[in-house]
Amino acid sequence: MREHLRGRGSNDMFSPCDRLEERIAVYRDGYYERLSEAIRDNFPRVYHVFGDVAFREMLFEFAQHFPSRVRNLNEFGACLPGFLAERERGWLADLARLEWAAVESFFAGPLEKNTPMVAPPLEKWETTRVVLDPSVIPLELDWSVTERWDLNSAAEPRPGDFGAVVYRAWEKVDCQTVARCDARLLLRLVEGQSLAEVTDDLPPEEAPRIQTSFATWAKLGWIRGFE
Amino acid sequence: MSGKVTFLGVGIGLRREHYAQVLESNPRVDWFEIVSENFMGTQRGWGGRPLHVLDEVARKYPVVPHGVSLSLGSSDPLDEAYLERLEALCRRIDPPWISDHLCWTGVDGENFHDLLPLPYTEEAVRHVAERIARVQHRLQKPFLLENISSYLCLKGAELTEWEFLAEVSRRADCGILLDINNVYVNSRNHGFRPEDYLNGIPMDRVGQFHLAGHYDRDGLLIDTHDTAVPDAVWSLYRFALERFGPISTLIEWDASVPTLDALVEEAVTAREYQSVTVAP
Repeated sequence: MREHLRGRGSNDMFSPCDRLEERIAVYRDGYYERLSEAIRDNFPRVYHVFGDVAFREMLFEFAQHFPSRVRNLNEFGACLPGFLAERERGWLADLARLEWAAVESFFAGPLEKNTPMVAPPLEKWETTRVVLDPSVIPLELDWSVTERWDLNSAAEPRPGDFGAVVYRAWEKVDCQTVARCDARLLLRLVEGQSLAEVTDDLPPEEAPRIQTSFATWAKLGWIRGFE
Repeated sequence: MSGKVTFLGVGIGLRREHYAQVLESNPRVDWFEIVSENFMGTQRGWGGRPLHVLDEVARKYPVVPHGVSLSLGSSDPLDEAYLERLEALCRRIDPPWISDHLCWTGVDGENFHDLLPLPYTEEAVRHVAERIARVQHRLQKPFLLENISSYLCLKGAELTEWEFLAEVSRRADCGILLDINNVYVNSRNHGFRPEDYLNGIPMDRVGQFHLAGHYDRDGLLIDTHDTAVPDAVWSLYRFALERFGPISTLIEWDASVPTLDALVEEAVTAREYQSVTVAP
């Protein structure tokens, strides 16, 4: 049966019936249609760039290399960014990373209303750890793919040092462009490093900018608290 | 445990498209069914809006998890990580029962995300019944086993499809979720009388019905679950009610999901069939 789903296999295993090839095709076509729908739902911007025909060809190749090993179709596609990167699809791989982060952000952690918070004063940073909202996912990017966050955008992303944060604002997932160094700093906070650890190697002249960034992130609800 | 579960009335599926409206309007249905996997979390975590909505709905309605990935007929071992997450879901919402399908969905760790048919053999009966018994014991909840639609039969059948379903449920001591649409689809695709199927199912095992739609592709019925319940399925539902009595019924509309009002309307129709057909 598995071989039939991949478009090959002997018919000997089936009881005789009419329209046998058509019946087999129901299963085979349904298999790729389900995978295609899952990827289209989770990567609408990537789908938009490919277009329907090229997308189906890509999906077929992707499914051959990364058949689903998850129980939940919502989780199928985690390997797509890496697959696109391996095939040197340029900014498409970064766009796919951004979209997968949106999926993970949507399902992340308990849902709580964002409450505005005030960043701690500078003198307390040595002993402060930051608790980020579980939906906050920082990304270091090699292309300016946040310009494609709007589904209607036709911008051609540029190569360079970029950053983004994907996060959930109550019911909706959104994306914010940040400096790459800020994305890196947030990643270190996600990993559990303290404020002192993440700021120790920053030049002193960066302190006011970092403090402003923290105030912005707190207002956006990315910071759940300090401990 | 047999199929004796609480009679809940008529319910609908909890669909993402309707989250906001369900929370705001408290629709006139008796219960909700969820696709278990949509509320079991991902590798990253477990939560977000789906779980928030589930918690709110479960405060007001009975909610029953209906899975598609237990893969009871597979030769792969039961997935312990999956069972753990299903167990956590059951602890969270305390459902009156859980359900999944008489099928296999994958092998060698690969998931085809389809409900694939099993051979109707004694060996398959033993294999599936043993796995269901383990799931029931693990989850400590009544388990209902659903019949699937199919387009192919495997060679070497020793039983009819309904004999196979009946024997598995008896051997596993579990209940049956009878999908009336699937019975009808299979009767047309494999050439048997749907009434024979229903007459072959033990009365005390059936705990739930599904009602759904299909697509007629020049005589080959495709189980799409994407339309209103067709007349032929309503007729078979009446037959089923006359045989089995009042049974919890779920309107199962999985694709091209209509408005919440349209779903509730189907549920109202099912309730009318129940009140007219089943003697008080």
